[in-house]
Amino acid sequence: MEEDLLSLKGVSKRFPGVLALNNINLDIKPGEIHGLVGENGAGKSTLIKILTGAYSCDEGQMVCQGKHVHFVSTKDAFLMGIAAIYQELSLAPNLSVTENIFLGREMRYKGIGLLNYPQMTRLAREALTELGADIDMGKPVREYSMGQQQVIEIARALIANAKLIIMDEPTSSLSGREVRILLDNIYKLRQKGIAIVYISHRLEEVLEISDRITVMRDGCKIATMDKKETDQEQLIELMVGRTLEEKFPQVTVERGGLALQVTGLNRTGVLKDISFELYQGEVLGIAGLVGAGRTELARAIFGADKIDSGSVAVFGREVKINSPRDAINEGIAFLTEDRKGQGLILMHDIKFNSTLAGLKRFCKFGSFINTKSLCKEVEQLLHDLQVRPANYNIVTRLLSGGNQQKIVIAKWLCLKAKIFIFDEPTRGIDVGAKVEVYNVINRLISEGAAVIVISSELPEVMGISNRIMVMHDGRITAEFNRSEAAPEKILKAATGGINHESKFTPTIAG
Amino acid sequence: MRKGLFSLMATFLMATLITTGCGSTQTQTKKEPDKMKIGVVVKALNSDYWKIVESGAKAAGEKYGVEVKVLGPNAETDVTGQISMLEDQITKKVNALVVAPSQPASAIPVFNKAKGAKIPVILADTDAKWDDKVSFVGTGNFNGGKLAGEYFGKKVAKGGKVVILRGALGDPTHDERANGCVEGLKAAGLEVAVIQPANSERGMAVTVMENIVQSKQEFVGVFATNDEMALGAYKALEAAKMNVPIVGFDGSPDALTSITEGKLNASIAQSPYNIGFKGVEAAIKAAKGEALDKRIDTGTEVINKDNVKQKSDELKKILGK
Amino acid sequence: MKVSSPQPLPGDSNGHKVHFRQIMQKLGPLFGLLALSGVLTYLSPYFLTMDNIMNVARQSAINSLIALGMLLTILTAGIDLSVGSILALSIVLMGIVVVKLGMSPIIGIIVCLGVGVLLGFINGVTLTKLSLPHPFISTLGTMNVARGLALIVTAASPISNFPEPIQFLGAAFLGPVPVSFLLVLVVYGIFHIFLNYTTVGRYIYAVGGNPEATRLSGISIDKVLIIVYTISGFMAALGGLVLVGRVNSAYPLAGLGYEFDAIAATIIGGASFMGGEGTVWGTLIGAMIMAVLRNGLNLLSVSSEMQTVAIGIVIILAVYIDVLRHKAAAKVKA
Repeated sequence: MEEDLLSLKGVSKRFPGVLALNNINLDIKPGEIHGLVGENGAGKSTLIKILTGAYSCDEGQMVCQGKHVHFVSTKDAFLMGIAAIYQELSLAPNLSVTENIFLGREMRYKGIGLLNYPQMTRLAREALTELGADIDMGKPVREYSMGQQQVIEIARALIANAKLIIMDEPTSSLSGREVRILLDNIYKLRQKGIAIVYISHRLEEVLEISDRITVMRDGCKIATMDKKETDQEQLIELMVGRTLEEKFPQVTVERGGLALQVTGLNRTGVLKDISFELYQGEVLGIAGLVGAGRTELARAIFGADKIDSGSVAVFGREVKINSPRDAINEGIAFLTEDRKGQGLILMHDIKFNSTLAGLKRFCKFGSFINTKSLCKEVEQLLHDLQVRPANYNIVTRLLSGGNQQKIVIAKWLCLKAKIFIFDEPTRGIDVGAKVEVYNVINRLISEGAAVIVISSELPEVMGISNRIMVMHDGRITAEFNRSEAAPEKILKAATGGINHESKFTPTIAG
Repeated sequence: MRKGLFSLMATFLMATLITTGCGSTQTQTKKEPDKMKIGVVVKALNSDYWKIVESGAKAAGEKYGVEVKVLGPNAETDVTGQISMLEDQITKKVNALVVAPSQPASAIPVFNKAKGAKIPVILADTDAKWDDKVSFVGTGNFNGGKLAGEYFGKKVAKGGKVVILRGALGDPTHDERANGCVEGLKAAGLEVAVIQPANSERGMAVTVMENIVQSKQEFVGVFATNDEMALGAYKALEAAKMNVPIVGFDGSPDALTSITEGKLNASIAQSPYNIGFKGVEAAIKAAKGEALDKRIDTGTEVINKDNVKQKSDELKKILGK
Repeated sequence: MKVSSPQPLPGDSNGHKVHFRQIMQKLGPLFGLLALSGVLTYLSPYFLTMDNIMNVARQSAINSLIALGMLLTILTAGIDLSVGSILALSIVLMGIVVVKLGMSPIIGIIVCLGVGVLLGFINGVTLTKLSLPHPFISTLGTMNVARGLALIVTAASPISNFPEPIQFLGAAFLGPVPVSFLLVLVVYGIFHIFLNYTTVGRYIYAVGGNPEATRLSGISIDKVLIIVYTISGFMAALGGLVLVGRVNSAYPLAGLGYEFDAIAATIIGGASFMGGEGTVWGTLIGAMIMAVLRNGLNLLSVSSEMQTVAIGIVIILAVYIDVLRHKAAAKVKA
């Protein structure tokens, strides 16, 4: 039997109150592509951090190339030939390609100590040419696309003589063509005997590329299987631990009056002639690929970005929305994709965050806040939304993703918003909490609100929407009722009708 | 957090050690409660001038067997800092105060407070328009400036123009020195080329002087209202290969060295040592309730190559260098 | 802390522990002040006397007032470098109006505070409407402009002999207590209410915590920032008014370096330079720590050079504690 490149035996990692990794056994063989799947919160990130030395494990052993190792820092792991490429690339945008590739390992002229740029550039170019990239070594990295930057990171790992490269969601922000290039490069790495741990939400991608696949759930390893032994359905079942139907609770709500009417909305280069209607009591899903203009549409309606032409009518009345404040005054709420960056003020508590937008409601004598009535309302909201812990003095940084999302929802409920635009409402939220978010959305429409849900997760859009609108390249390319929607149709519309490029479109995500 | 608090405590402990180290005389006073305490608060302790005042004051303390503490803020511009120091000296119930006020008008409220606490106040170096002062010890800065102006009369031909570099605008000491010089120049039949502030700093004086040279102004001499600026002006003129007499003010060690080397022409000396010494002497008398002159002159003189050797020997003795 | 749920906090198996830690965080600076006072009481017989406590109260008043305005700017992740210069220009203009032109003290006070408000407003407007990248720039500009103007209008000489009413805030006593300290307490009370119980106050915390989230919550960040810098200007002028009472003179170099004292007080008091965190009482304690330190070292006849070193150490320590606090918070999160 071939010796393992890296093997983990009984590795556990505990955080205060949470067992993040529970007795993990895992082995990586040289030159294999090892898929790692699991929902968010399953423990993948923690596992990666242990592999790369960002965390050290509490229990268990790691054997790397036949040696017992105990990584204390990422440098230790790096020296053992383990490199990682993260979703958010870790290049210095202002430095040149060469400088980035050699960052921290610069070559110097012997004796003089000055940097040996010619040699570094030559080596970097060799590595990049091998990866089939046409890149100018002297240009700053920021001038390159995400895909090219990723290639630069891979080159960096190659130069460092990596034996194992961990790729965390490498395709999440790449175009179809860039994905193809990446996969080709991964095969090239395998030929050189480099092992890859490949983490992705896109199961089709994982199934195509991996030799073996490991499924994680709730901090445990559920199974490691040969690619040939498994299929997408089985993977999902193992990841979720239940079937899909339970994931999307349904309610039947009578469609009410016209809530929002958007006509001929244009924003140069981003949105092209968008018109649609939204009714009370319905969930309108907006599907599409990253970059199709969905978030931009939401921001335009909300007044966060300026529009060039077009009109918006709320409850039948045409309104001028120039700023988020105008939109809020019309009862529109926007729950951003980036909860931590744009939705919450993490250092402040639940009370502060949930009442931030609706603070004026609690004022008496001009602008003095009536703390008592404010606290009462927050308590009620926490109860309604089942926020845990239901203690409004807790700093939102400490909450889980699902509860953070609930606080953002509370913020808008507190403002008595009537139209809710959710951008990726369940991104980064674990399965159980997702269902709760869907329940809240259902509750909103039962109470007569109108809801738009933007989501890259096809099952989610299909599972919770009454109608589905598909966007591609700033336009609306299709609209389906729930009954007529099918993944293939949506994907076709999302790629502008050219389906071949979209082999790896969003499927399931956690 | 606990660690943070711990380190905070540790620093205070350290501070304690420092302060007990410095305050050793403190414990001494506890043993001899009758020893007289004189507080001397000067404008700052960052220049040789004030260091000499300090050594004069301490010498007087030793001679008469009284405890003398000399304090001063970090910069002459720190007016409120000086006032806080005065308040704290009053709290300490010193027997008398010797003060060189950075800004005379601003210090009057705290002088009144001292009077209320029955602490006599001697003004040193810089006078204030305060009727209740016991005495003023020093020389008029105005007279010193005038002396400089007249000195130029002996060095350059009539009708020539002299550049004046002065300390920060708003500082009365430098106002007086500059004004005195203007008058002295007029009396000697000379003119003022330009008056520029260089904030009592050597570095700034270099820049200011360079600019004046650049402007192609005609001048036959430079007067600076302190030695630091005079030395800065010399640097600039040396670089521009211009040789005109430069006269400083204060008679600081650096200036004396420079005069010995034939660089600066002269420095007006106010005898800061005497200001410190006689200031404390007056304070002791005042604390004992003895009568004092309203004005005690400490003398002003020109130091140039003729008497520089003798003066620097004296100075070395004072500073113990 | 009201706990309406018996469940433990996430990330910590013991809710009480977090509770304790939070209290320690809030009271850290206060403990520092008490410890410092204890040490000084031991070292100097003059420290813990009524006279001296009132001394400290007076000496801390100006910095306390200015630091309060500074706190607001730091809460929004900004800074106001112009406070010292605003103070100078406000008081010398008041001096010209009252002493040189002989107008009534009331007009003088209005001019003084008005100049502060105007310059603060200009700070806010240049920051927001000219889209200057950081308040460091806009206030650095104002700092130089105001200082220069103060020197120009006075021809660089001090203005003295203010009438009684103007000196009231800085010089008068109510019983043994200086009016300036009472003013500080009142103003701090008002600011406590302003920051915690009014919409604008809460928005100030929000802007510093996360400007994008604040904007998307429908709050005009520009408006909040303009208000903050205007208040900071006003507080500088108010500090100036106290200074004039204290020294009976308005001079163009007044307030030199006060911006750093004010920044130090807020930081020692636990405000975070990253914005969004800090309290008025922390700032008051920060200003007190600085005043007590200076006063105590004066009483012990420690040279001013050494005092500067001590204050520097305290600032770095205080910020280090801030860092530790954030590390602790990050640990709880992980």
